[in-house]
Amino acid sequence: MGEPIPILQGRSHEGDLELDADVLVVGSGAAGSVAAKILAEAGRSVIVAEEGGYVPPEEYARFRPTEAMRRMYRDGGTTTAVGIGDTPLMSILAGRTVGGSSVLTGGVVFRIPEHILHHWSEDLGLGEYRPEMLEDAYRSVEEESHVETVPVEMQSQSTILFEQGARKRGFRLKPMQRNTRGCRGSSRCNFGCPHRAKMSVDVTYLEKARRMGTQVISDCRVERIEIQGGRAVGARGHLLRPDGRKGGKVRLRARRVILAASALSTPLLLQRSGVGRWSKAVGRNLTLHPGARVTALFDRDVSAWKGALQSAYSDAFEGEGITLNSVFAPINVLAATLPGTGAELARYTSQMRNLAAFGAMVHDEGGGRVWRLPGSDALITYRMARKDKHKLLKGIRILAETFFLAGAREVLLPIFGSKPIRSVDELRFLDDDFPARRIECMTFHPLGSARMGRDPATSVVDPTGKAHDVDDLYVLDGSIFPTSIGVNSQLPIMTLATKLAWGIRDRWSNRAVKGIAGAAQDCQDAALDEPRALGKEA
Amino acid sequence: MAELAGYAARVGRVTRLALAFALWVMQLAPLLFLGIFRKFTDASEEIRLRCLRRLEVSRLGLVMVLLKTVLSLIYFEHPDALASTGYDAQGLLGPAWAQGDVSPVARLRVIEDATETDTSVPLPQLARGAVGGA
Repeated sequence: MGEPIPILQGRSHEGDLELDADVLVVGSGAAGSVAAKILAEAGRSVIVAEEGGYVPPEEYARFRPTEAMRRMYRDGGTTTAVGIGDTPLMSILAGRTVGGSSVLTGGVVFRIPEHILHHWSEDLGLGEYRPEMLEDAYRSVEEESHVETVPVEMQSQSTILFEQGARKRGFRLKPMQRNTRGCRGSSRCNFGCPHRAKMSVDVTYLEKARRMGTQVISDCRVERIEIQGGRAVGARGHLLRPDGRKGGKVRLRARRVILAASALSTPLLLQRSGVGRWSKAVGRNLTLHPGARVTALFDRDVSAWKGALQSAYSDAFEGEGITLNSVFAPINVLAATLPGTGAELARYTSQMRNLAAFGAMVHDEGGGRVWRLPGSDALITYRMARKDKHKLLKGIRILAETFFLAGAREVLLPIFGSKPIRSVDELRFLDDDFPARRIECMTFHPLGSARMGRDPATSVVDPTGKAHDVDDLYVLDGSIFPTSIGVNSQLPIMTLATKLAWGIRDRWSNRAVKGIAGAAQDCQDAALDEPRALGKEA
Repeated sequence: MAELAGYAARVGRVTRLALAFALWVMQLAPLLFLGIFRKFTDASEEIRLRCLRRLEVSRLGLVMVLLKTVLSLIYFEHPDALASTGYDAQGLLGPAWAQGDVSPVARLRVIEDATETDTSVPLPQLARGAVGGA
């Protein structure tokens, strides 16, 4: 492999842009980078169009959190799902940069729980997704992303304290796995790794794809898929200036179009292009894994920022749809969640060294929807199932009880306007009738807004990832998940993208050698394929 | 203020509208919560604090949350504010070698990780190996 092809940065490109290739991948995150690398490896010319800007690892290593939020997060990190009914307002953190959210996650890696895959294969008719049928794809991604277990010595004092409480409460923590190499425990994964230790796709898959000739275009907003005769033949959009305004026009032609723009953006693109308009699934069925973080004050130095941001978890409550994860957040993010103002707030911020944190995440039933607004904006709404609210409240109670058992002096609940509590007895107000709108809720794993299935009336893509109603158009990102999965979604998204990209690659190869019928099809392909070479700029 | 303006310019349209609404509610807070005909920014410190306390526990508490979040993000990146939290600068801003001369972390007195060796630590090499399977 040679040197990586330089990224074409739309923000500094003058004029319009027109390119042709075998494959157009929309989105450079966990799914798009995987697909680009696999198809480039198979000898296909590939273009990756990314709406966000390009920030090299050497640059984001220097960012302050707000710089990372401004330049690498969707909506500057302020994307929210508006709660409908008895539902909290939920903050959704998602990346908008070359490498997507993978650059900004904690690197936590889980396989999809087997009972979920059994549900997909047995109840939803997706026999291709039985656990054993994903094994090769899992292994491939785990090797490529350097998945390793977080060593105990990387655990923060915050996690160690929580574990002490957990043992007293009768459950144990398990070490997490992450895609890291050489982590030094800076506890700022969510703003880009400062040591290039996180094996996010920008430094793994995408870099390899670029070495094999893939052209990545940053600051490139794809606005519409071009469809001719029922087949996707490319896409149109605009380059974006540094201030977000539209620059030159973009026209990208390709024989296969792969959408990997995330569960928040892919449905918008499908809607704008008229894909799946007869199904009741585009933009619907969004699941979010609602989560909450509980913090606790101890009478000792915790300095929770020393160690891995996320290092341990508990599946002791998995049967109830709750996963507990070690978490931390930078000081300025934590400060925003502390109670009070003025002197009262200062009393807590001055004790930051004594603060520990742990999180709970809910395996939700869905109820989210992505609505297209005029322009490029979206409105995300979410109606939380009553059952999911109860899970979330229970998760908060478990976290608080565990911290008290660990010896916490005060526990700060993720409840807007609430005062710190000093004993378990004070948790009684947090019963199942507590209004959800007062819960401070966050989520990192939007899934399911263009789900796959066999029935075009209720799903957008078939089990191969192909759109039901448009040929040569594939969706490979988290939006195709038919249900939520209850665990961090990065590895599952990459695994499904691997399996589906292998399928695209193999079917393409087979079609090229299957005889006269195949030759005729290839002639038709070739007609769409002129000129082939990348780099034709208008 | 420049940081705040820069941040607000990057958020989406929906959030900008929410921020504008939050600022409008905040200006009316003395009237809404205390019955005082005065803008928040013209009120005394005592009135402002009373307004904030009432707002935080009211049905409009999300207004407070939104403004507090945005302002905390920016305020607690200032080196003096960071120092007041007892934070020793490890982690949040990355290693000293990455900061250069312009970083605010350079003003912090306690930088435990700012060792000489940091300046010469190269970025780790990329993962090796090819995609297998299939």
